[in-house]
Amino acid sequence: MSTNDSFPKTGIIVTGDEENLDNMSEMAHAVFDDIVYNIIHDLVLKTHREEKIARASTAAIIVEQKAAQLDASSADESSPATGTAPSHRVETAAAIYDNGKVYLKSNPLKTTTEIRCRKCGLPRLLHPTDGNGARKPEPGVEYCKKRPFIDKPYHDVYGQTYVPEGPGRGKKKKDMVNPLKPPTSKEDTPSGSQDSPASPPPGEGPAKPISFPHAKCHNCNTFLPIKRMNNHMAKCIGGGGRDSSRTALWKIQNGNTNGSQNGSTPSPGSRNSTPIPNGAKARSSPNKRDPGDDFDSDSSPHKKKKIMKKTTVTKLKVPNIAKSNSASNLSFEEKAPNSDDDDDDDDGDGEYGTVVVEPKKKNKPVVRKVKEAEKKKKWLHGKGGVKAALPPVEPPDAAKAKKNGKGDRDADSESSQTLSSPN
Amino acid sequence: MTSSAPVTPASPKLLKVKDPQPGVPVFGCEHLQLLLSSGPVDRMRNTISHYKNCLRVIFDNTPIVPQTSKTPKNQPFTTLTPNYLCLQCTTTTTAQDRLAHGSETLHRFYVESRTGGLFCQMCDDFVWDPTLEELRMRKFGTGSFSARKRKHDELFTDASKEDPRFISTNTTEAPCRASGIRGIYNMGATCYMNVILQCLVHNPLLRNFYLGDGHQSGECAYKNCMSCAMDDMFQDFYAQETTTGYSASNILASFWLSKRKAYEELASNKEQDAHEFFQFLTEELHEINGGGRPDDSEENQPSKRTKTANDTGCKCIVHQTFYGKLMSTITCQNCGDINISVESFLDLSLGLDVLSKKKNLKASNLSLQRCLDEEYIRPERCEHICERCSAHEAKKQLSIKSLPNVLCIQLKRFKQQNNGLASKIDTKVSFPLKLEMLPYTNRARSHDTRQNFELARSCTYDLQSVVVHVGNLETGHYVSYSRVGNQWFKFNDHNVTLASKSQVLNEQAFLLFYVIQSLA
Repeated sequence: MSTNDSFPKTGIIVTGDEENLDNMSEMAHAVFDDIVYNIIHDLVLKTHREEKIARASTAAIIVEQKAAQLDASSADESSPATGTAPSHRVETAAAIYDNGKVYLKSNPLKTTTEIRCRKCGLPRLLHPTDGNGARKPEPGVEYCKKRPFIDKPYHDVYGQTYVPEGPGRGKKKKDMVNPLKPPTSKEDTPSGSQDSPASPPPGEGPAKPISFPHAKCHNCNTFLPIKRMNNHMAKCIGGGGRDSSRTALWKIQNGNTNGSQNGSTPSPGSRNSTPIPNGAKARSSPNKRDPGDDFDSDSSPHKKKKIMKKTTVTKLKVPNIAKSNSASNLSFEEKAPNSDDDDDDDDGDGEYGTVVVEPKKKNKPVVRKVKEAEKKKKWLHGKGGVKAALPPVEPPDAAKAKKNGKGDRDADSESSQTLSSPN
Repeated sequence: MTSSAPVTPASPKLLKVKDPQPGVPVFGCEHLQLLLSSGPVDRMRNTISHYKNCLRVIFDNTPIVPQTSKTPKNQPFTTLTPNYLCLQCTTTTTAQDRLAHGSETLHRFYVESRTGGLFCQMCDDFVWDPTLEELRMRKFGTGSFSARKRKHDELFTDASKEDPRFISTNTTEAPCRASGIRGIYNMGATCYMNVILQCLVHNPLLRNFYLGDGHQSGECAYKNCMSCAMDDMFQDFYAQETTTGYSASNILASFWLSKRKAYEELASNKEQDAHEFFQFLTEELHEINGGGRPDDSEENQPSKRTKTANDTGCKCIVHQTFYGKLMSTITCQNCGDINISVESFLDLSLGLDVLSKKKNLKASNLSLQRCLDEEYIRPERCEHICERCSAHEAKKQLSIKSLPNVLCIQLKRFKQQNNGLASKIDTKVSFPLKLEMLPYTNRARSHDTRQNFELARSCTYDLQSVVVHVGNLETGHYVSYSRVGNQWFKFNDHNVTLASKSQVLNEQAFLLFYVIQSLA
């Protein structure tokens, strides 16, 4: 065995014809041979290490699982004496479990054939399911979810495909012009099956391309396609960039048209601005729509209720305006039943109120003939009386009454506004 | 460190077989079990300490020592191929003589002379014993056996948090499927961002920091905090089973909302420089995690957000990870006056335009090491007015004073031409998978580097990530490669594919991330 002066030949590199070799080239050859040997040695050792450690731990996992099973079963059999469980000894072909410790029996590379996951204890899938080097996994076996990565053209490491570039994806020049990509992307599913004809069809089937998701902008909380996120943020947050002035200008110019289209954001602006200048013209539509828009955007019945309550309690003009639209001079007579309501409330107080009704009714047309200023005064008087009478009565009625009263008053104020608007 | 000390078992406590762990056998093989567990305790201790000695011989000295065995005629015999150091005596044998030695002395365990692996002659195979393997990995990685922690470790280790019960109650096990390998969707010319994020996601230090609750987004007071966004991203990468791309929209939002003066131009819907974004991100994270930012996160305080002039004291994750120190020594050619200045650096920038013009560097085969040689070993002449003799001639010598845990190297591929137009340099620069940084440090000057293998080992870096720019200056695309374990992946926005080492090494790198070996 003792090779005294002769170096051992690793023999990775075979020399050509030995006759031409002088000393120097012989040595060069030997050195090169050794170096190649070392490189291969290290590579093999590295792989060996990974594999052997994985197998050894697999052997340990299996024997531990077995021990745990035995634990469970023994605990079932002799339920009172569970305290003695850990002292038992379990043995498999590869390892011995003894009191919480695991000892290997022989070389795990020989005794253990699978690799189990240390986390979940399930066997690892050793070959990719698709693409290069794919193998069909054993049916009916539950594998660890950590799988070998897939190496397949036009697919990512998980075997997923995304909507490929080309016509139909977007409007970018790439998608229109690039003639190379579309054919290849079309090819990619058939070519995949050509590479390994047996494996992919029975497997999970050709994966559907994944389309690009939407994401939420953190500034304005709207969802939009991920591809447009950066451009959107330039507009939404922007401000600091080079294009800020241009975008700001653009916003100002397009702000109004945008507003009526979107409805949600600019509507408060329109709400503020319209009532006074537009007067009768625009009043009917936009004002009505505003609360409606709120409902649409919130789309929750609760909010609707809230707003309704608000209208009653805080005496928003909104419902009154709706009334006031009809409360132009032509339909003035409708007011009479309203006032009747008031009177009905009064009825609760005393029977004689019913008697009063008629004179009131008669009064109104009279009042109408009289100057409007007088009308106002009288209405105010009436209201004052109602208000004073109401509080002791049931609140909803009171609210209604208030509303009505309010409506009346607003009708007046409206009319006064229409009067004053020419000023 | 004590290098190749005689047989002095440092402290008997350390020398014991590792405690059994679930899923790991206690011993590498049944024969080793006999050696270590049966018989007196001394035998186990002696064996382990002798194994440590063998490792010292292998790693701390020139390889000639373990590679030399004695022939039966007592002549030294040195070989390039692996030798075997007997674990039970001081003999070194060749692979051929190993059997003879075994049958003669009944010694069955040998340490391979190049990697320190343990060979069991009865198994006729290498054996990876948990106890001994841990020693080997530690020696190989850091150059010492002790669990000496680098400074970054102190940040994370808290005695109470090391308790396994504490860990099990306060952590959730990541699902097996979650591997941290996901693409990031392009949000419209944001590939410069995606490549940097991928590099950071696969950076072991940042990963541990964020997965270890280094930044608790629940307790964060900052508005639109970038660190919270990063935290979310790390959680999504390492704790979710999703395999589709990640939408880094909140990072983009934080980026847009950060409104840093220096990087205002960067936040736009145009293509940007990945390196600038890296600088931005590190600065931002430094301020958030290092407390450089005022507590109330008011938007209109750009003046307060000045960079802390001296970052040396900062313990934030960014400084722990990326910052090293550069020392420049300016020696006056006239009077010999030496002027030393030290500054910290986030990355090493290598100007390819200057380097490729130098005579001694042929542009055809430019390597990273040669660039570094040029920059950090060769002194250069510079304009410097000496304080003493006011001479103008001076010699400037740059060297690295302290190396970071993650070394980022930028190869400046964009140059300004004479006509003011910028252009891209497409010179190929080869870069290694393992980078020795010792020659570029100032310690290399003072010591005799030939013998200092331990130091060299602690200055060895493994390639972790590569950022590549494809295309020209006006428009192009960034792609990154990152290593997970031994496998390289190519990250092209949302698309992740396997990559071979040769594919990686043949790329025209723009940014290189090297992680110190002991961590990788």
